[in-house]
Amino acid sequence: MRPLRADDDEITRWARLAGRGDRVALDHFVRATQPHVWRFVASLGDVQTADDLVQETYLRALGSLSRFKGESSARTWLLSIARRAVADHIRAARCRPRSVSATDWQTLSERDEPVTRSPLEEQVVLDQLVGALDPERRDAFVLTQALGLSYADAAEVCGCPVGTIRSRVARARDDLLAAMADAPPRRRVVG
Amino acid sequence: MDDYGDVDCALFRESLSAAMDGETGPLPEAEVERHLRGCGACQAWRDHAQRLRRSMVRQAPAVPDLTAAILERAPLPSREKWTARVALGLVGLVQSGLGFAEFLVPADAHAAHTGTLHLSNESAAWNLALGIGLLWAALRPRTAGAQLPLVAGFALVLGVVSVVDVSGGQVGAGRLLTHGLLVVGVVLMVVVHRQHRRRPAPAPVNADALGTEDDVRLPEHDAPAPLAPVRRFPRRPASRHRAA
Repeated sequence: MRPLRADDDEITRWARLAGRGDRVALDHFVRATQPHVWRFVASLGDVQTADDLVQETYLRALGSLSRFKGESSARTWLLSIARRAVADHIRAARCRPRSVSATDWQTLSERDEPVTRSPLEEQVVLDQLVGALDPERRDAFVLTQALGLSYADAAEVCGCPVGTIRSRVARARDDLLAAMADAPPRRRVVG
Repeated sequence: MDDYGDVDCALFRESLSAAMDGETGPLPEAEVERHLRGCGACQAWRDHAQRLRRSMVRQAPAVPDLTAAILERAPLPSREKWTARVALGLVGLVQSGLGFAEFLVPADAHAAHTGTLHLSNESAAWNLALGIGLLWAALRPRTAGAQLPLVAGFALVLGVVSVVDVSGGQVGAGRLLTHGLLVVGVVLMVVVHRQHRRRPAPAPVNADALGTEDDVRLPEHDAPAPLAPVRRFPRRPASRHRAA
């Protein structure tokens, strides 16, 4: 796809216009924000549900777009909706075997054989490790690292203090590095 | 901190982590530096974390374009474009007012031959009717399309006739001005009609599948209400269905 490059202000402006019924602005808004939303929800580690979750996010968001006042950035507003959509999804799917748990986290980091892995495979492993993080840490980590949000914006998305984001990011790094150190080849993911 | 024999590295690592993201950490920089010089584990941690950071930044997966699906399913931002409708309503009001005024003050009352008086009344009736039509289209946009041939046809013929009459010196500026109003009304009517027609069908509002304990509630006044809504324009949701 061709993601529309746009800064926060522009996205927020589109959101306000779209809220007043401007179809073109709505189109721009969806196009510009979609990669972020997709990457965020895909950090669950399951691409199948990512598409559904993206749609669910927009279904919720566009329904209340007319009440979006533009007081905060539309991007963080949308991501916070995505975050709730993901949380609801996890809650609903908790009993399903596919859902990520602490044991998955263990096996994931111990499973694979050493040596040769292509960068793409390494990327996949990293994705899996990120997906297996504790949800709060994963959110903070993905928002700030993959999406490049500032801690302040991430705090807004998660509805928590900036200091909390800071410690969650650090803990996520801790977890990831520990998992990579456990399985030697995983060093190469970062190396 | 340094006074403690057993230094907890967690807070230092949090500082290192924040610093590599360009954020403020919980500890002063100098203190972190001092700790780093004496702690090999934290040095290694920082190096690895930095590499991890780079590999996250590098990661830019292909993202599927779901725009079409999203826009198709999503409930539309509900507030429609009111400006054109409001403007059309105003034009309709003024047009009706002018038509009504014509009844009260027949343009050539003093030259009251019976025939011309009736002609004047007939013209007034037409102008009033057009005003009512414009107003109606503003209130019920779905009727705009049906009225267009009549109103536009009238405006077109009137336009041609006016050009002829102007060249013949048979029409005053004031009278022409009211024709201009009608033209504006026709244009607005077209705009309202197009906006209304372009509005697609409302999406089914079912927060299906996913267990929803929505913090973001689908607003009841935004969604097409399943029951007859009691609002200012009670027919609106029904007209949406019809437009679909």
